[in-house]
Amino acid sequence: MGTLSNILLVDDEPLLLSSLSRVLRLHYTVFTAENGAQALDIIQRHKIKVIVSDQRMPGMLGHELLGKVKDISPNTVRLLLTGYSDLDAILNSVNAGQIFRYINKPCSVEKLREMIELGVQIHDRIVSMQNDTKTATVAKPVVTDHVKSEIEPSATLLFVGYTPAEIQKLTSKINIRFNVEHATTIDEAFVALNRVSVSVLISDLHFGEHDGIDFLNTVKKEFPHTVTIILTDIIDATMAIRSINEVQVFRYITKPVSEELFARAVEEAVKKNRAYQATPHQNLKLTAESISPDQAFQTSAEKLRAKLVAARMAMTKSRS
Amino acid sequence: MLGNLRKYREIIISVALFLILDLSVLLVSSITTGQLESDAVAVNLASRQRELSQRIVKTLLQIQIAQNAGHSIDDPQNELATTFKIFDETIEGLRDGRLVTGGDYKTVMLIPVETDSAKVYLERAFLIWNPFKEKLFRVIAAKGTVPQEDLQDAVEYASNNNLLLLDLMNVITSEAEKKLSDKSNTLRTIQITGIIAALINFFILLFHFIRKLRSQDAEITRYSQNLEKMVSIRTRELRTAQEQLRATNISLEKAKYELEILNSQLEQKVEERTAELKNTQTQLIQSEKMAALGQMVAGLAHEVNTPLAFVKTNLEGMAEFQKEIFALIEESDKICEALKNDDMETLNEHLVQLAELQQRLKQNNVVQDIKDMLRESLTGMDRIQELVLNLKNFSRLDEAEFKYADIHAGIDSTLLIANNIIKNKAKVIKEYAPKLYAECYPAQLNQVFLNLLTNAVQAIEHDKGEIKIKTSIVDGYAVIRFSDNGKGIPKEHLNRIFEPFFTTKPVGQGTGLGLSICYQIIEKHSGMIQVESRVGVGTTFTIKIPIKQKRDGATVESIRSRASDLQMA
Repeated sequence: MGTLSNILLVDDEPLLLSSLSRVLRLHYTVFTAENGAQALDIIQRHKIKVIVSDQRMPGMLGHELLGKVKDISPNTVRLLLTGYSDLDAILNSVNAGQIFRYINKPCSVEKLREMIELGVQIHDRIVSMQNDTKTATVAKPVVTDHVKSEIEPSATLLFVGYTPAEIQKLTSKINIRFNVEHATTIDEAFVALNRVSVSVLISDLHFGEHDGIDFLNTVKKEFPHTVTIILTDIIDATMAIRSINEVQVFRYITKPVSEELFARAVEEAVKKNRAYQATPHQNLKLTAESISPDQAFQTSAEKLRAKLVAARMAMTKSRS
Repeated sequence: MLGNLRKYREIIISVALFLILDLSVLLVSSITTGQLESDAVAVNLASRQRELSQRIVKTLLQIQIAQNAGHSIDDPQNELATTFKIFDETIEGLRDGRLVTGGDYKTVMLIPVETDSAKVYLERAFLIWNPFKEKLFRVIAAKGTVPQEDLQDAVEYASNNNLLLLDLMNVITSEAEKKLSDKSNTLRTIQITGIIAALINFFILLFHFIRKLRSQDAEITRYSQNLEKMVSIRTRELRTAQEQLRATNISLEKAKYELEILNSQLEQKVEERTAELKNTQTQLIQSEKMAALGQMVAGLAHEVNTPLAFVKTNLEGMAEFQKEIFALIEESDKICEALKNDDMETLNEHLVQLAELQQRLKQNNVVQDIKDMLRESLTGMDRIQELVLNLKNFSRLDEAEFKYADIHAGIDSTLLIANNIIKNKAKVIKEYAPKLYAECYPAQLNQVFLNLLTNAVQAIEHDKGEIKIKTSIVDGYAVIRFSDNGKGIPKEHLNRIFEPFFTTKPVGQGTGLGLSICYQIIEKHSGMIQVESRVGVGTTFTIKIPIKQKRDGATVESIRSRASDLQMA
């Protein structure tokens, strides 16, 4: 069976740590810490593939700990256990890119194992690709975003679900080299996505019968390099958590937002898109593709998928 | 004054002109009239000379006759002398100008003749008169009788020259008459001219006055018209003002009426407002309670969630072990069966499998795990039970409202409720008196404790937070102190913190009612709540409530009713 992967569980409740250790012990080498400081100590001394931390802990909160872990050990996949009661912390951690997945508490052992296993796989994939890149291109430095942007100056932004006035206001400060496309409905969005290569998708979450996250997930599946920014007035922890867990959203921005701030987010998203195209292994979504979503989601997502396919066929027909 | 002068200048000039004109005419007239009188005298006297020269001749002849007849010549002689004298002085007067005897023997001034021709005639008259004068003088001077020769000489000279003299006198008289007539003509001309000038002046003056009057009239008319216009405007204005005044009056009346109505409604409105205010206050207190409740529920959910999480994990783990244990039991059953049937082959086969299973269970430490899982799960269940119990203790829904209660139990149950907010921020140090019971509404006191603990936690902004809870009994009062080492309350806020709606939190967070409700609750326990604080050091809240409420029924009753008010709110 070889050596087991190292994982780290952090919670201020010793009994929870012991119960989780017991159910995970057979598959992983489980490290436990009762607070942030202990966890950081362990991270520094051991190669940890996946860290699972509780959000509410005395001393250091979970998202703070994971932010530090990102700096110390960037390849460690970070999972946050949360009780849905820390909305601000969740939104902040989404936008700081600290978290791979949120896990609701209490969580079934099966689900937790699945998450941890996915995390381990992603970790291994990233590490192996990094090694490949290193061995293959020793002399050539990793293509930087900077160089890339000079070669490829243009990018296409697709706004979905906003009024023209809103889009005009939002795009007033963005890079003029970016092309702006817009769609009011999901169907229009699919048409646009098939017509042009969209670098950044900026979307609301209101779409009548369709769930915004499902829509974004469908897009993500077909266009994994398209970077997603959610810009909405829905301030909801569940939505925020789903946007990370299901779509790996790049930014979750709540309205109203300043034009400058938005322009910066778009700029960063475009860079991210170029980085994905240059080095696809950075794209966790691609890597995480194997995980199966909930049953309920599947049916809803299937409908959307069918729409997308229809749009694509229509496009092909019109082209031929 | 100057204006007046200018205004009257024309009149003054006109009058002056008139006066000058009239005066000059008068002067010229009077002078001329004087001259005319003199000239008339001259004409009269010149004309008298003719008669005189005749009389001289006549008297000479009378003297001659008388002398011839021998009569006395005295009378004619006297007459001649008188006549001679008058004639002589008159002719001298005509030449040189002198006083002479007039017609009625009055003395008059005779002026000399002026015209050249008259003067020539007069010279010729003198040439005749002067020799005649001597001859006559001898006649007059003779006494008694005139020498005949003298008489004869005089008569002869007279008869020779008398006519000539007479003619000369005639010419002079007519000269004088002519002059007189000329002068009177001139005078008439002057007088007529003067009158005409005066008339012209008069008419000019008249015209001027008329014009002036007319222009004044026009001005007056214009002015009066203006005045009329102004008066009418003013009248209109006045009328408008009056109407406005009337309107104002009416509106004032109306306002007064409305005011009266309002006034009458005011009391009703005040009552309504008071009711509304009470309602709002009630709602606010309610929302504060809901906020506290929400906080409590969230905390409690988290508290329950944690033991729930590990109990669930343990059960799931045990469910996994269950398969292996069931397999073990199955093998055991099969072994029993084989033993019963003396089937050694099957027995061996199952014994091997059993050994494998046992080996695996031992290797995975399943037995110990199951023990631990059960123990820990029970601990978890105990914790959940404790929480539920505490919730019950905290709310005291199943107890009499007013009772003799354990204050420490109340604080402890509150601490458990608030655990989730306290544990991340502060260590709790208890310094309890051995035993502390007091007559109170435990649920309400717990609400006060929760509020004070929440405030304490929120005041702590560092990771060395401490909350000290000290209880004691002083003079029949239960004294409970909550001290924190948080940021403290600034002096300027200290005496306001119990005011309703006073809050330093951002809008939307906290109603500012928490401490005011605490204050009311403690007050209703006939107790008191005090605060001491130093910025940067910490804050201490001290609650004192009487261990026994006054046994006077009214007090207890009033406490009860007030407390139930609060409860309802």
